[in-house]
Amino acid sequence: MYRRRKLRSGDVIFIVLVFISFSFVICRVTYPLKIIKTLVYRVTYQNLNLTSRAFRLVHIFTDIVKSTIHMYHDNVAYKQKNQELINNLNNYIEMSKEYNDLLSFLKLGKIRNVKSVFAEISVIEPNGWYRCFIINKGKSDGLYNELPVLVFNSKNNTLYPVGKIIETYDTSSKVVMITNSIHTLPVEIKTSGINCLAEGCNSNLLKIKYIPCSADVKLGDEIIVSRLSTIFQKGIPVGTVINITDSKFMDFKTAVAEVYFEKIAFFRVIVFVPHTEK
Amino acid sequence: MRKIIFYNVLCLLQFFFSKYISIYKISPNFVLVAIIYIGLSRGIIYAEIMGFLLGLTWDAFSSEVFGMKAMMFTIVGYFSGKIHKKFDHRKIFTQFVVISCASIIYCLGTNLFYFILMNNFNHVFFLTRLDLVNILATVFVAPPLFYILDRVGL
Repeated sequence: MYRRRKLRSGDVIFIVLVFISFSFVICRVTYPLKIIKTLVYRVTYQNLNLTSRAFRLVHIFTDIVKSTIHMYHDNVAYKQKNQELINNLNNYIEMSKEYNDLLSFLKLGKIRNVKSVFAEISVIEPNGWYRCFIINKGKSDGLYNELPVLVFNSKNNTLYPVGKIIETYDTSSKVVMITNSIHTLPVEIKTSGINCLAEGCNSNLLKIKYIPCSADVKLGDEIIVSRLSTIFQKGIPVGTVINITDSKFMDFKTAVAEVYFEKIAFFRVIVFVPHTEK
Repeated sequence: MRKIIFYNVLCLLQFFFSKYISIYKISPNFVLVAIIYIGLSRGIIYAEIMGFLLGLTWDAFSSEVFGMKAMMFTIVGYFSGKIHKKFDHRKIFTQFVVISCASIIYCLGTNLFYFILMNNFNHVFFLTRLDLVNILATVFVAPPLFYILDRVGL
């Protein structure tokens, strides 16, 4: 009797919970639900971030011990490096002065600088490697929505586009990746200079759409960011073509490209923030 | 208090440390394993509530439809709770079978949501290679995780 009652209450709770989550799904674009989502995010992220920091304290402690041991050797190397930097700085100050003089002489405006914010990936979904992730920098670091997020490949000193910021909170931001099916990136085929669109497939591949049938596209062609992109800088390498679908009954060709960042195990990303002069 | 600590540790393992744990972008679904463990060992109510809360957390961290994971994990928690005391959850064979079935249902359910809500025809009614590998990883992670949870005495 007791077990049956317990089962019945379990069924009632199940129906209530499914109804609540179903209503969340139905009202997914409404304002109250966005508030609920932000509330859940803020509470869970802050709580988990604090716990994560507590775990990382152990890691920091071992780092301190290691750094104490290597301190002497590092000091010698830093002294040499410091001297080199001082020399470079002197050159830089002279060059900067010369540059400013030339600008004022030619009556030209200063080139807009871009601030790089280095962020660590704090949260990534287990099945969402190609969909979205959360970084540990937010509004307090000057980030806002629609900023480009890139990853640095130290092997060939190249930056690869990874995604853009879609939600910004005080100390964290959500990044949607270029491989997410909801993301589209204007790209250019480097060899032929044709502009087309790269759609994400929730995998390491991008579907390159709207390639004219007359275009000469070959396997292995490099895909770069197009000048039509309003988020990324023109010319940043994105990936390589690995497959081309061509049919005489279709107006456009479709290609499949593999993204470059797939080959790097990245835990840190760079966000480019346009520097605003005060 | 123990439940809050369990929730925190599980979320940390799944969301914060999964990038370190994963190999070739394959990471097991610890949340699913934990919900099934709770269902098999503690019963329906605890499993479905935990499934709902963990799903809601996952939804908040993802770019997908809010509420989708909460619903999927609630369903998984409910059905795993239904077979509470019918199978011995300490047996590895039981763990393998239940986790495999739950993972497949979870993946197919998620794909069905994509099909209904986003008209995404790419992955409907079949599992991608990445899905299958993730299911395998989840299945192989289940026995040690069940053992640890048993020892902790959740």
